[in-house]
Amino acid sequence: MEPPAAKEAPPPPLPPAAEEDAMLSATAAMAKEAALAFQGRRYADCAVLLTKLLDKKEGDPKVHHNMAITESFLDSCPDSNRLLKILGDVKRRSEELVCASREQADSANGVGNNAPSGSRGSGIVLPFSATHNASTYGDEFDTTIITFNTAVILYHLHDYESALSVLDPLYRNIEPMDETTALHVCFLLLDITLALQDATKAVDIIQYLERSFGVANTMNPNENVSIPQQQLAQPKPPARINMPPDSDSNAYAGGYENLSAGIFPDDQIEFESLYSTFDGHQNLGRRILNDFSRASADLAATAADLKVRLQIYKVRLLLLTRNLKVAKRELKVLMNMARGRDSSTELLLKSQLEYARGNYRKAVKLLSTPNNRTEPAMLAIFYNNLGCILHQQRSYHTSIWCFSKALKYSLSLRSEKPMKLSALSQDKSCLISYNCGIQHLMCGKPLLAASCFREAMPLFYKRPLFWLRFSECSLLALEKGILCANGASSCNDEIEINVVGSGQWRQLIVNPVNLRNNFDSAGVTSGEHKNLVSLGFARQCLLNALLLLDATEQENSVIASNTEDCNQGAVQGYKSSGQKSTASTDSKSPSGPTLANVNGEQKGTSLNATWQSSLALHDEICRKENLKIRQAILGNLAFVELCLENPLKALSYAKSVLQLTDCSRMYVFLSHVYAAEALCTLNRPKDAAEKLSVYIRDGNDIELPYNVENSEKALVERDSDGEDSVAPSVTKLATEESEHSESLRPEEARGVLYIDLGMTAAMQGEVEQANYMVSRGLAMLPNNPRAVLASVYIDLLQGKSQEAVGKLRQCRNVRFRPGSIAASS
Amino acid sequence: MSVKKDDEAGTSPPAPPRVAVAAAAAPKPSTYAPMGALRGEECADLLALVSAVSRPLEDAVADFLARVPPERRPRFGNAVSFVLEDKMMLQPAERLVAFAILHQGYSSQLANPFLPLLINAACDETSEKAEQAFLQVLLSSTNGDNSEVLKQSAVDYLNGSDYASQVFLPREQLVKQCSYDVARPLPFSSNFRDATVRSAILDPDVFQSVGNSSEVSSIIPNRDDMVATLLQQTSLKGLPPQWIRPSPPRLEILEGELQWLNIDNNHELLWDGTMCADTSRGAVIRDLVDQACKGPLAVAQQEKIIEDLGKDWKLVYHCGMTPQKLPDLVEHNPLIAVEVLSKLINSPDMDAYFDVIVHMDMSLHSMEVVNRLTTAVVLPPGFVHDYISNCIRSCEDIKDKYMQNRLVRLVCVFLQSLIRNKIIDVQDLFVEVQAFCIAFSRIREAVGLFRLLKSLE
Repeated sequence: MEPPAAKEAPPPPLPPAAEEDAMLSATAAMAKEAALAFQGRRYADCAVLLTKLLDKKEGDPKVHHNMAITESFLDSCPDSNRLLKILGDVKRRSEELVCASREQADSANGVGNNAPSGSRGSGIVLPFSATHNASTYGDEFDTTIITFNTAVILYHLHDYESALSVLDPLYRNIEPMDETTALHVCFLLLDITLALQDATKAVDIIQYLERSFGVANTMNPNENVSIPQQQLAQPKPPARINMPPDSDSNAYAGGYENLSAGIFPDDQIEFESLYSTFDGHQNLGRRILNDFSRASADLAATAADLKVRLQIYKVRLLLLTRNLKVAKRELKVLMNMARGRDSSTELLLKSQLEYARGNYRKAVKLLSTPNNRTEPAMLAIFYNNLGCILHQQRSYHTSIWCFSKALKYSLSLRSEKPMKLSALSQDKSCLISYNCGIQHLMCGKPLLAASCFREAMPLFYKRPLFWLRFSECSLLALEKGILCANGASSCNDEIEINVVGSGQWRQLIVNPVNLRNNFDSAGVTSGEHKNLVSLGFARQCLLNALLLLDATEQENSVIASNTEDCNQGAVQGYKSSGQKSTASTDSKSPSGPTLANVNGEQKGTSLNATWQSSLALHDEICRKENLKIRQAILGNLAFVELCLENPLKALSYAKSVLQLTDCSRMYVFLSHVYAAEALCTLNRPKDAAEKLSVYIRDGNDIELPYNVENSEKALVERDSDGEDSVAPSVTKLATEESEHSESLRPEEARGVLYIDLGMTAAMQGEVEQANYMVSRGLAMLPNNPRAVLASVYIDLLQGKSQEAVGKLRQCRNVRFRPGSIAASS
Repeated sequence: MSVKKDDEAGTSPPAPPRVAVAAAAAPKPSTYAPMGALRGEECADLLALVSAVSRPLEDAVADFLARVPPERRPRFGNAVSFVLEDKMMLQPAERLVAFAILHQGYSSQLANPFLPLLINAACDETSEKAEQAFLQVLLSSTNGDNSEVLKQSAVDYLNGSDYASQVFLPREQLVKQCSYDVARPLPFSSNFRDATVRSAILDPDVFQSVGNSSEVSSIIPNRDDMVATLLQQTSLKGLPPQWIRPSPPRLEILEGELQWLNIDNNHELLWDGTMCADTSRGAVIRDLVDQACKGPLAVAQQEKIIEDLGKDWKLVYHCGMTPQKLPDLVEHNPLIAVEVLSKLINSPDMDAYFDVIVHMDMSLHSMEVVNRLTTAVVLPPGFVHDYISNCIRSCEDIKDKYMQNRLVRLVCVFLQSLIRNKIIDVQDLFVEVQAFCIAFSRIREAVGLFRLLKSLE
């Protein structure tokens, strides 16, 4: 499940005054006792102690905070929102106290303190970060833990955005924090960033962890060797890193004693000899830290677990960035490290890797291995992941079954009593609902899909793709004939002809293309569905998606332009005048050159390079995906606006599709057709014809607007290393099949062009040309009711009503309805 | 069979009732209904009205105004014109009544929406003479003075011979007379949608030959039935041009779009260990650091600071150190300064500390601090370069020869140390350092540094 390190109660930092028991005040002693009780999971005792403590220190925010935390363990978190409120109150109170105490301090020694220091500092005014001040007045009103706990609750509530905004300030000022808390902050932040799929930030945190906690498992296995060597080679004085080891602090101090005897300079001192001591320059090795500090003794024991944990994050991050080759290698490292542990996590990751590589059978096998499949949380994971694999194998219906089962198990966590905070976060029903929705979409069930997506909304509402999918429900409903819109085709289209009168008076009334008589079934849609599946809602979804996509792309470009700001853990760019450029180039590489010495530099850069190439790869993938998403959004918008009879808007969306760089030819075709229709509706048939005539070659022949290859995605190259060489080709084949079934074939697209061009010709009074085009189009789309009607229209326009009747009689999708029935209706 | 092509100038039908279009276009399946259809009783009304061929025409018009409420009139009128379009559907007398209704019943409106239709019919050479004449009379007379005609019944008019002498005005004159401006901009409507063809096709299942007038009258109930059904059922708009609007494809499921689940890490709530903590934490070191900024500390005091920081290096953030205090600390206790700075290296305020060091007065102590820092931690290259530049500048500025020699020697040794240890890249500072060496070539260490530089070239 989980590295043992985390299974234990998080080791709370002991009261720092532990060394001088004698000096502890009564309250401090009680506080210590309470902490011990908490650690020992004796929450009831702890609460009693805290109540007593509260009597003595009424209104102390930290006591209140700990009380709330303890109660949450006692009551099994009855109400996380109440807890959030308490924490908010406590934090506010702390901050008020900080202000008060700072004012006090300022009035006490403020002026005298600041004035003389300027004399040597050349009188420059120095920037002073607020965080520094806060930490100066530190401990008593320190809100780090409160803030962290707030983030924990938000994380469990799946409110990752808020959790990130709460936790990020802590991470930005993580240095002064004690290591235990810092580790907790980093790990929580890692989980949050992974949930938010923010690879850049996650890389930053992982690199910070590696740097500061010395738990680097270098990405290049060969380099592992060099570390011990470096350490061996270190002469005295011992390597200094930013986290001074307390273990050899004596030797350290001793070294200083020696130096200090000789250093305090006299005029007589030989500088050469003084500095010659520095010439035998020591190598700066990076220590693999196996003990952090006095305060985190029990963490020290689990340094190995720390490594495992970090490695797990690394693999997850690599999988997120789809750097499968490196992920595979790192996973191997992880498997080696994790020998003898509960390996469910590792096996799941391995299964995910095989899934990502397209080795589905292997993935299923690995997925089935973990044996603790009794807990609902694990069962939910199992069925969900199985569903994902089945989806890839195109067993959509089985896949739905799996997801539903996963959903059931996941939801059962909610009803568990007593409700635990962790159970909240284990409830992944939002994610599973999304998967479920996708499957329903694939299986052509728009209403079910929409209601699944509604369930998934809380976690996905910030993702453009989510809103695109949501809108696709309505478009699918349109296609399936559940919705209807003027001019849109559905699979249930038919031509209905009313036969009115009899004998000599018999008249045939040709109706526009209509949905087969199933409004009634569509009318059944309950109110909620009506809200989720409609063209208006689809438009809203698409606009959301467009806004979000613009926002993320803007954000990305901002990040790219000032990386230094977000690389918190990286070098604090030394921003002095004239050095701006060095500083910024420095911080662009988000590794820790600060700490790498000359020998270690190679290691630093190679680590860096792996992550950098991973990120670059991921960015590229994201960019391509965003392009696809954008063209789909704009194409759909143009379509929806046409359906909603807003030709002007449709025209502008269609134009913006055409302005996209690297737009797929299929979308180019669609946007030409949409724009042409909009132009026709706007009484500009000539412009419309111009739009469509880009496809005309050699007189009246129309070329295929796109072909199968470029109509769809170029398959992302999978990392196949021969193990499962069959699988990738199978996928490829299957993907092509699906394209065919889902979208217009190129030949049909050509037929569409003929018909629509014919219509523009008719609008311009060129009946001959129209007749020619439409008849060619009809030959390509003999079963399309609209094509038939187009031909009938042209016939009627020319007064050839008998020919029109003949065509109608031949067509498959025509239904003659006796008028008497209609009359009675 | 009349084929109506509406985009020919002047023949545009009345703008279809926009309200009706909007309602039908709304994507709500439940509200779907054939456009412009009449209610059952209205069809009966219509047929009853036009069949009153033997009553005076003005009575028929009055009847129309009484029976059809104003809000239904546009639709009713459309139905009438639809029926008129097919010349077979109504008998000649009935047609006259229908025309009269269209002319008179809508004359109160600002502009009679059916004028174009009436003018067309008046100029239609293929129509019956009587009908054309009747329309000419109606259209050419100014309001009110056509009462003569309207006092007659339709049958009387047809049986009479007045129409034979009727002067047929050319189309342009009629248009002028009716103060109907062909070019009058209609409220926006899409010609594309309105370019409909009549969607009713006569498709008799008996042979055409039976169509003589006596038989027509004999099957009037049959016809009434047909007209009623037709009007109730059809969109009177006809068949619009057909356009194929392909649906956009569904975006393929992206890689990694399906959510794979992993086992969660457990993040538990943390106990705040600083509750009621001894606030004297760091008090000792804070005092010592404060003292250290005022004067040199005793060895024991220095050891205490180093020991405390060694035990818990994060204390460095709680010892009251600020960038402003740094110059004093450096001057009085360089070792402590090194100790503190090397632990603050990742502090958010480190830039400020670096800034102070660069800008403080050059001294042996500051150089010692920097030199020790370079060996303890990796410093930003920008800082080291700035610092060296400042060293060189200080050497040049110093007036006292003895002190200058001292400082130059110190800087040379310092630079050699940095270069040998590859703390700095010589190339970055080559010109500056070279100039420095040449300026002070009288000093042995400068020559040594110069040689070192050359050897690296």
